[in-house]
Amino acid sequence: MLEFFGREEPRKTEFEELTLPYLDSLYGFALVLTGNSDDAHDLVQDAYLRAYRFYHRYQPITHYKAWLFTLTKNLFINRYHQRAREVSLTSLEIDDDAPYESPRDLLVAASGRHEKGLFRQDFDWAMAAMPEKLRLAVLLKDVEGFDYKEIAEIMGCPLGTVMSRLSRGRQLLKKSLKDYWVGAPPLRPAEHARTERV
Amino acid sequence: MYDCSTVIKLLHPYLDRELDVKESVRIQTHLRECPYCREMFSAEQVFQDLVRQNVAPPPAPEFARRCVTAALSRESRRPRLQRLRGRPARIAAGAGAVAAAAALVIVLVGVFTTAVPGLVTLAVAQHRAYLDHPDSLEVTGGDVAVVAARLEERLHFKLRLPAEPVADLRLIGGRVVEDGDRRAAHLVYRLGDRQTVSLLMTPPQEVRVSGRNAIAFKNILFNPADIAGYQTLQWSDRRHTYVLVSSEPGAVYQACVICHGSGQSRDAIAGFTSGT
Ligand SMILES: [Zn+2]
Repeated sequence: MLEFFGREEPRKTEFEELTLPYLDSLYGFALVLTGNSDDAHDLVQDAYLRAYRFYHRYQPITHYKAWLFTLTKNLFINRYHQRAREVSLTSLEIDDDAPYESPRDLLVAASGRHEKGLFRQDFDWAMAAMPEKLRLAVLLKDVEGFDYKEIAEIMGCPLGTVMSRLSRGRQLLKKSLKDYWVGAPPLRPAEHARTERV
Repeated sequence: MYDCSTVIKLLHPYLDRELDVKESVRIQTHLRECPYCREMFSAEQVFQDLVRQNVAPPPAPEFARRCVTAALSRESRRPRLQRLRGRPARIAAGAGAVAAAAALVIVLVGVFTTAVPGLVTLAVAQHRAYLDHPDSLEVTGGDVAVVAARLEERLHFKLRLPAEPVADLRLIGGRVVEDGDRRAAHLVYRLGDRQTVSLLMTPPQEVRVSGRNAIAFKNILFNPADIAGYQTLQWSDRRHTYVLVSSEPGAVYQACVICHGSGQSRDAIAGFTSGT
């Protein structure tokens, strides 16, 4: 009996050591999914509770970070039924073959902002203006470092969709930043959203 | 051999190291011979490095971190059998839900005594003041919108109260109370025929939660206390800090529906809401 209870605390410590380092990442992910900090807070907390319960049942989990992200996404879908339907309408996404935007001009335009230390806020702004799915793709790849297969699993969409979203997301990011940096009137978020095809 | 347009199409998968060896070698061969694509690839690489360096989301708020660890602690103390079955089934909304939720919380509570933060003391004092002088309310009546609007004129925050009557609770009225430089709303409810329940609401405050007594239920940490014969229950969400006070055992728990019958992210505590 003692042993039965005695195991609990070490397992909790172990779980926390494995998963809590991803709290910031998961919170950022939840923020993009839910769009507000209240729901993100609830989602992350529920995700950790659920992860902890699963952790007890199925032990060897190989990639904790991807597992936590997938779990959070599934929880989000279960909880926000309405929005979930929107998220899963992904099957027939066609790459629109937009001309490739070279980053060269962009990098030239950027140098001034970089020196003034304004880079971060420019990127924040450009990311916030992107449609949610493209932003998620860029976040999961370029910030969180997942591979395409993991992103497909987390976002619940085919590999081809991941590639298309990623390339469109990066293109859009480049275009927003370039327009912004060379002084052209930037696209407003609403216009971006309208140009996205799902 | 790949031509330039094919190579550009594979630019992202190549830089993301998603191509197999054969495809990668083809790309590299082309890049060696094509200065145009070579420059494109290296500029794209620079851009992606910029994204990586500048797009990290802000860290999670400290409040979120504490809630997560508190919820995990609570969870790890649940009996193992119950945990293996997963979370208790969500209580169906409806007339019985309130009583069931209240009963569940009471079972979890057990015996409690805890250090008392100032806000709870204030709430108890206000509750007693009302019982001694029932005519001291600034605004009386059961119309939530009217009561809330009157109080909000003098408050620095919005009140969130359910518009519809909930279970046996009837709003009697409310007043604004001062505590140093902060203001709180004191609302008085009647529960059933003769029980009186006070609810003190302030903007969210740092609440010292006693680990031994706190009850984590549906995402919220509740902090019960027994003060001078009154039962109190204190908790916070992102919008408010609340204290419920009642002299009748159990009444405060039934009264949780006051605060959780409204609000947009309230499904997390659906067990407390009744038919909304
Ligand atoms: Zn070429």
